[in-house]
Amino acid sequence: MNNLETMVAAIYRAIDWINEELPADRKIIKAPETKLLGPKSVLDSMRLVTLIVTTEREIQEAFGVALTLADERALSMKESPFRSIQSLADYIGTLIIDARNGRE
Amino acid sequence: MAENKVVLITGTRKGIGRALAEHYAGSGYHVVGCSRSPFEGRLANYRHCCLDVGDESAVKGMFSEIRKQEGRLDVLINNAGVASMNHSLLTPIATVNKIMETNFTGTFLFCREAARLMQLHRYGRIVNFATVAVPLKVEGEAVYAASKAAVISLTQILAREFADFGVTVNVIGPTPIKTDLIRGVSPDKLEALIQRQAIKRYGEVRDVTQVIDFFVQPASDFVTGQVIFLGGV
Repeated sequence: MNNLETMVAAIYRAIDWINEELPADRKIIKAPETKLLGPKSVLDSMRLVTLIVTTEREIQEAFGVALTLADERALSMKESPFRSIQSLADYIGTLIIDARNGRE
Repeated sequence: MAENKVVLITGTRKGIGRALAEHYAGSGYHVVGCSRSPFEGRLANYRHCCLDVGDESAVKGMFSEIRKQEGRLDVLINNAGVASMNHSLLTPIATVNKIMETNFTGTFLFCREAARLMQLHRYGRIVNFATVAVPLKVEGEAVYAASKAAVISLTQILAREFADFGVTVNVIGPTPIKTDLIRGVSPDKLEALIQRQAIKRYGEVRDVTQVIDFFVQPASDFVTGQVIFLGGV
């Protein structure tokens, strides 16, 4: 499994955790194109918070890096990294590289 | 009932924090405590971390250790606090910053990290500390009282934000209790303060534990965002 797959897998584990308490017809689909923000998102604001926090935890366990996903940098980006699972995984990849290069 | 439950208490080296650590360790909780200095003596079911509660990196590191070693956190008691009694015209900004960092920033940091850990089990109890100096508007305690007023506002909003995670957040507001926190306050001033209480005596540690025991029990799952001031203030 490469790094990107590991990151997506970490996000999927966070989704599994949220899906545990959702009814069958409202479960979040584990696919890169799944929307996390905007009108097509299946997440309400509280579940998005839970997804971010749980993903941070899963990333720390998988990579040993403590990230803050929803910081000023993420919030000021022209295109939000929380648009989809794919964009979130890409953003996490950038943060991990920065953290390992001491630019966290 | 407390078997395997984990409670984190800040400011456990002395005073109320130490008494709370002894109380909950003696009740069967696994107690994790912290303060800037080492814990003196030994206490069964107790583990100590040395840190400044306003140091984000150190606080996050401690919570990471709790998650690895304990796997859960059931109760957080944000007891750590500093006070500086002085007229506001004579209060240096360094004192203001230190009080806000310990009393407000420290409380915020611990609440945030605790809720992240508590949501793993969709259960948690957080108790923050205010003071009767907030409702009594005590002269000479402007910054201390303001920092605790901020804790009350913080608590009432966190209560709403954390409710979906099964985490309650409440405040206890003690009266003067004979600890180091009030060591620099004149006996006359303390006596005048006590005369403004409905029940006119110094508070005791048992008064504090009584209220915290109520807030943290599992059956108090419908009690959140509340402030209980001791002494009938």
